[in-house]
Amino acid sequence: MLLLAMMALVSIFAEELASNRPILCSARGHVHVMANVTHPRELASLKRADYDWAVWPLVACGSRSTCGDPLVPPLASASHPLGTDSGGRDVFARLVYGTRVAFGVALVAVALFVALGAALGAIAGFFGGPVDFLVARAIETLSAFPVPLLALVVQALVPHAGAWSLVAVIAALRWTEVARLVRADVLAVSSLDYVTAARALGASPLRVLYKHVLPMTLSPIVVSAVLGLGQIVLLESALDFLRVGLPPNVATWGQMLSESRDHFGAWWLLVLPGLLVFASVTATNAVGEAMRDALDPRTL
Amino acid sequence: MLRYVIRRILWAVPTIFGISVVAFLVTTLIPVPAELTDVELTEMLDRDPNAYDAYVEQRKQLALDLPTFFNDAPRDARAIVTESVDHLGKNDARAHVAAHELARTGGAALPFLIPALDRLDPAARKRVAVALYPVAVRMGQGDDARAKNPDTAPTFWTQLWEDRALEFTGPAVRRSVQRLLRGATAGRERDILEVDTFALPEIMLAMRQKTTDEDGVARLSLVASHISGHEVFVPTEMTATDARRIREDWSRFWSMHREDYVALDGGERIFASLAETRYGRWVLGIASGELGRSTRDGESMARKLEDAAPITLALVFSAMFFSFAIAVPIGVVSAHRRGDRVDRTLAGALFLLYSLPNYFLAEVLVHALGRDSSLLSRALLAIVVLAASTTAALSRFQRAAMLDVVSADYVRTARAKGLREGRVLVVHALRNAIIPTVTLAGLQLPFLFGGAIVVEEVFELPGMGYETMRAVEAHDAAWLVVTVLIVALATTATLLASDIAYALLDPRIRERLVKPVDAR
Repeated sequence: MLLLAMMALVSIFAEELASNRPILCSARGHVHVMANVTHPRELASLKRADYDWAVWPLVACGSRSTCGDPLVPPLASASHPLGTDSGGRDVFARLVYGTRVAFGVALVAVALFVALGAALGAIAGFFGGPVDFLVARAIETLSAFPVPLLALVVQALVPHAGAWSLVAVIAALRWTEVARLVRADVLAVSSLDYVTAARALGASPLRVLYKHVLPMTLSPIVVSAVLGLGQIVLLESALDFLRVGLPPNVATWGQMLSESRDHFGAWWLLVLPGLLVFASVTATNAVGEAMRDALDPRTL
Repeated sequence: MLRYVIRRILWAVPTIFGISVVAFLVTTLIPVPAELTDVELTEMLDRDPNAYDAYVEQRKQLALDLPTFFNDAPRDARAIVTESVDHLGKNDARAHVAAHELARTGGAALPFLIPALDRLDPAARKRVAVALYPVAVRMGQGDDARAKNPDTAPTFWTQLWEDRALEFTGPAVRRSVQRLLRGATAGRERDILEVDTFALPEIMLAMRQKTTDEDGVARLSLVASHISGHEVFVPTEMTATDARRIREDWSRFWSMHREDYVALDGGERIFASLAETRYGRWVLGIASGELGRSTRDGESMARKLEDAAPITLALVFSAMFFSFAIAVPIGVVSAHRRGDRVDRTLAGALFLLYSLPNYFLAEVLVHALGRDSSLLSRALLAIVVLAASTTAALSRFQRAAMLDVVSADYVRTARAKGLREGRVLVVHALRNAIIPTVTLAGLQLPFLFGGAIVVEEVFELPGMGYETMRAVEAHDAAWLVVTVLIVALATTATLLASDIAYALLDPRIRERLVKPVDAR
């Protein structure tokens, strides 16, 4: 939990930790506040010496631009605490921005597939009949496709593949898991007395579904959202590792790992991002499983 | 029981249909050559008729000329005639292209064309009749000046139709084709050439039936090439292999072009409105084992799969075997010693292993052990990596399943009878607790195939995953789509098999399984 909170903070405040522009500075008679976030154009061409005075982020390097000698090992240089990669880009900066990318993609994808899955699962379970049949067949069909393989193929074939196509594929395939859980719960809850009572009072079907049935299915949704977060971080980094994920200039953990394949001696390009992926997956799994144990009365 | 099995298999039919639709939708992501406008087409046709034919052929092969799912007006010979006559009558931007199409449809068009000719105004009639000149050349009437001259061409064609209408019937053509099969003479060949493309259906039929007569096949092929313009190499010395190749070539041609030369009626028309679509073509192709060719090196997909699949299957199934062999004892031990130090250590280690990214583990092993090791050691490492996460998942599951069982009454009874603890655990508890684990193992298969992509890439093993990555680099859509389809179908088959096996083993589950989605 703590680890996840830390990662969230890192991705929100990435600019304060690493940027090629200062936080607070004075240049050519103007004072710029938070220049690293606002990216004023007139600062783009300035060199470090051109500033009158400046407060710099922890590492004065952006994630995409060359910032020093290539392949500097960690701790060897004061300005690059975790070294640089083969393009001379700062590893710390790339890890920080990689955190943002990993959790950004995962959060969007999870939000999409949970919303889709909950909606379709609830509709199928609540209304039954042909709708249920269609959704059930769709669930069976889509769960036959391994997500990594289909994501890989789609990323390879779609022109301009990137974060959005990746998110779309994940959402299109992963909603089935949530829908299955929600559908089963809705089926179970719908036959309970208090739902019949609500119906008898004249509540419209949608109101019954939204106010009385859906709240009961919240816990499996939350658990699968948390577990899904870690799985998508893992999937996204694996695709980047295979070089079919996000565009190559975007800083991602998987992309750094794949770079370590070309530079055999550069262990830090392997170990640092690898441990970050490992840690975030472990953390989400731990949180998710703890929540499942806490919310599910059967495992008590 | 049999009723249940049949019912379960029937449930899988919509799923398989859905899988084929999804895989087909993936093929629609592939970028296709842009469609040319009428003006561009006319220009192309003027510059180089062969280039135009190649363009049309390519679009036909990719089925770009067809609608996606439903064809409300399948384009047969009759439709081509109506359309071309319409364009020629209006003399619009497409008229030139229409003339070319009409000439290609040739003799097969005449039965619909000649009656239509009378209804046209004189100028349009002349344009249509002149457009048919290449057909007259093919029929051996190119020297006839009347066919070339716009003023006399309509008369030429109506006269020809009056003289020969009787030859444009199925039985007459069938007789000519049979005669040509028996032996070649100039007269017999001319009989066929004179009805032009109208003879193609009968030639194709004869080609499909006549299996032993190699010279007959050669003769038919030469005539068919002459009238259709589709070139097939025919050697002077025919062998059985040549005959088979030629017949396969023509059967491919015919499956693609039949509608260009035949008018569809009744049931055929209804079938064509479903089959003559992009999806229909694609599904029928896959179903008849025509997996296509890799766009990367032109090698047939079946050959490639033959090479790559055994490696991947060996990796996946040995990983499955090892993880099973390790996971079950671990699950039993930790369930037995639940709560103590051994259990907690194992649980912690398994939890970490469960979250370990497989490509990270693989890459660390490569870095630690060096890259230039032998094929065997790389394969072993790949199996270790693949087995790692599966082992973690299976043993966690096995522990839970064991815990459910060890508190059951019949296990307590076994203990009370004074049986040894080991016997109680293995013979009484495990026998029931292992069934869900076996099913889970089946469900792990798609994950293992996904993992195989990574380990084959890292350890450079030339299996399906490695080929898939090469296909990704080369944008080899054929390979990617077929792989997706195969893996999805294999997954469905595994689920089906495990559901049925489950129901055979455990009558309690059968009741629940009748609602398939709740079952899993």
